[in-house]
Amino acid sequence: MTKRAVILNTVITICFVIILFRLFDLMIINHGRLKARAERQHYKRENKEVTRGLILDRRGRELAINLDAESVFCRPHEIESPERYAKELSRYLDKRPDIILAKLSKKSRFSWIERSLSTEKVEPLKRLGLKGIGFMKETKRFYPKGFLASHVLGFVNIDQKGIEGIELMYDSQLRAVLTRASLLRDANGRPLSEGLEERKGNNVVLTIDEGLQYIAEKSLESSIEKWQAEWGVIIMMDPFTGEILAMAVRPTYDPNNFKDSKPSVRRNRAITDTYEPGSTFKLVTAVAAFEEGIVEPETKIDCDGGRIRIGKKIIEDVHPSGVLTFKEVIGRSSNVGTIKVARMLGPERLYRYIRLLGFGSKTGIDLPGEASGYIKPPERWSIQSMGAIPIGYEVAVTPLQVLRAYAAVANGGWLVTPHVVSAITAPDGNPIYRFRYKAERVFSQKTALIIKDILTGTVSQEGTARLAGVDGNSVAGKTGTTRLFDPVKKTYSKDRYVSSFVGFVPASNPKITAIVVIGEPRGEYYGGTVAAPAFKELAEATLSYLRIPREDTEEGVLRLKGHTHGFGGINNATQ
Amino acid sequence: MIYSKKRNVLKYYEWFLLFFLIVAGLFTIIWLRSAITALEYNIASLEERKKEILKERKELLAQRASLSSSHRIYEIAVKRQGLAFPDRRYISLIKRNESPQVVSVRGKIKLDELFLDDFSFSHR
Repeated sequence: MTKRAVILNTVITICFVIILFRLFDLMIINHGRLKARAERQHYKRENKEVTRGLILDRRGRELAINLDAESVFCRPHEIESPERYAKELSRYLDKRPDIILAKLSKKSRFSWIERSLSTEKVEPLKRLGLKGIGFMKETKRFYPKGFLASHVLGFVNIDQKGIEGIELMYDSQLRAVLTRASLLRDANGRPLSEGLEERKGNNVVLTIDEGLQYIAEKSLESSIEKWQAEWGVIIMMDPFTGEILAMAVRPTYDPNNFKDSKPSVRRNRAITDTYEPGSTFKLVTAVAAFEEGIVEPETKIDCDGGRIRIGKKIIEDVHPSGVLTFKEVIGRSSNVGTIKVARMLGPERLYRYIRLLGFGSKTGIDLPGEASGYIKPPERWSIQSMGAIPIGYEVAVTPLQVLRAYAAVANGGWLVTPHVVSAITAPDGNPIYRFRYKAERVFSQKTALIIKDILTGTVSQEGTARLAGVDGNSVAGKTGTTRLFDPVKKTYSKDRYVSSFVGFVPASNPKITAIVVIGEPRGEYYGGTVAAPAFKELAEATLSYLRIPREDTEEGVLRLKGHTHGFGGINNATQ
Repeated sequence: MIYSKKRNVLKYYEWFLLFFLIVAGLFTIIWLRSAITALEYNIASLEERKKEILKERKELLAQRASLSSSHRIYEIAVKRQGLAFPDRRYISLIKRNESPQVVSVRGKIKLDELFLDDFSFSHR
């Protein structure tokens, strides 16, 4: 009995010693390694959800938002039967089995199968429980207004990185920093509370107004359709602050499906493309002549019956005239009269004013890809240049540059910096940055008033832009018509034109300044026939939208209280 | 002798009490831990629910933004409802009057053309 007890004691003791050794091994010798292993099992490092900031219009309407999406990936080395998987997956994804098979058979350890799918589409795939197939939560950029302002907004790539427009320009603000966090899981891999901290990027508030943008797009669309034009641009700006209220470009694209469009369609022609502005450029000669005291509005200029020889070239007026006042020279868009005044100025002074009005340098708009245009320095001017440059040939400008120069007339001589972003706000709505408008005086208020008066005359019954006139409000502006240069034939085309109109309304107290450029219209091509009516349509709708009163009625005194009359009619009427 | 016996009894109870406290303590710790874990499961499921609701909110926001687009409103108003964009020739914007009881309209449009039934006049 004693012997048995000794044996039993010994066995128990040995067992305890073994347990102690094992405990010593687990808790002391291999403690670090095992602890790390346990942590690997219980904690899973995952990317925290990050959401791109929103893009809002000036009234807080969403122009770019985010939707939840999921991406499907595979770990090819874990997949035993790629052919079966490919067939199975192709049933749920709109992809051919051979394309999926190529991804499943890759030599790498990771491969995307499909990105940014809706969660509804992914659910049946998850239920299949295929080994080696994984899912990752992501967000997908969504542009709820579709085509509207697509050239301003731009778009993002599959990794939510800005590629064009505001998305690119303000990418660092819109993007949230991707972080990784350790999430606690139980033995079965079920998640324990991980918190709902969602990292969001900052929101960008634009100066664009969705309503005005729609009006601009609609006017441009109808004009393009009417004249079967190849392309077109409308920009609307506040002449005092440089806030871009609308920027419409045709042809256009849907940023939700940007891959369906050609890169040329996605180009923002309002700022990236240059053209020869034609008669709208006569503004420079007018400003320079008044500032330098060369002419007065009533100074008589002999227009030589509408023909002038410059070197080997003869330049003609559309409407030949004899002696005209300088006011009439601009009003009737006389090339001869303008060239004669420009000659009085000389190349150096003319060039100085061209640059002073912002041509040949970027406007500084906060959009990517802006072109500076091109203005030859006077030492490179040919004999013909003195006949071409004053009337808007041999210069390359962007529609925005032209608009900015006319805005300077509207605001009394200040060259403003155009911008499309008014503020950047934190995800909680607190402002981080507010745009401070910049302006530089480039000519006197007196000159601005004289030119404003001349431009108002241009839109009168006798002017070239009478079709731009708005019922009830005075409009000031200038038409432009240019032949397109054919780089193959190295001459100006006889059937390809650019028609434009740039102006502001109401002329006495400008609220908006806008430019309409129609590229390669068919049938008619004069700016006064093609672009001016588009401006009229745009201005009338805009004045209604902004509730800018007519100037030809006396101030009413009827008091109304918050009522709507008809579609978009009187609401909280104020004057 | 009696003292010694009493002391042994006390010692027995002391051991029992100590054992009971340790066991109770262990159970309390285990219970607390499991309760916290259960709570975490609950929170995790609530978080999942919240995620679903947030996702739904995002989708509704997208839907609202799409439905309220100017293009859609214009199409419905003009094409389906037969409304027209206001013609400036027939619109007279009117200003709040500071002096009470005065109601008058000047301009192109006569008072009876303004569909007065549609408006309420405030006489402050």
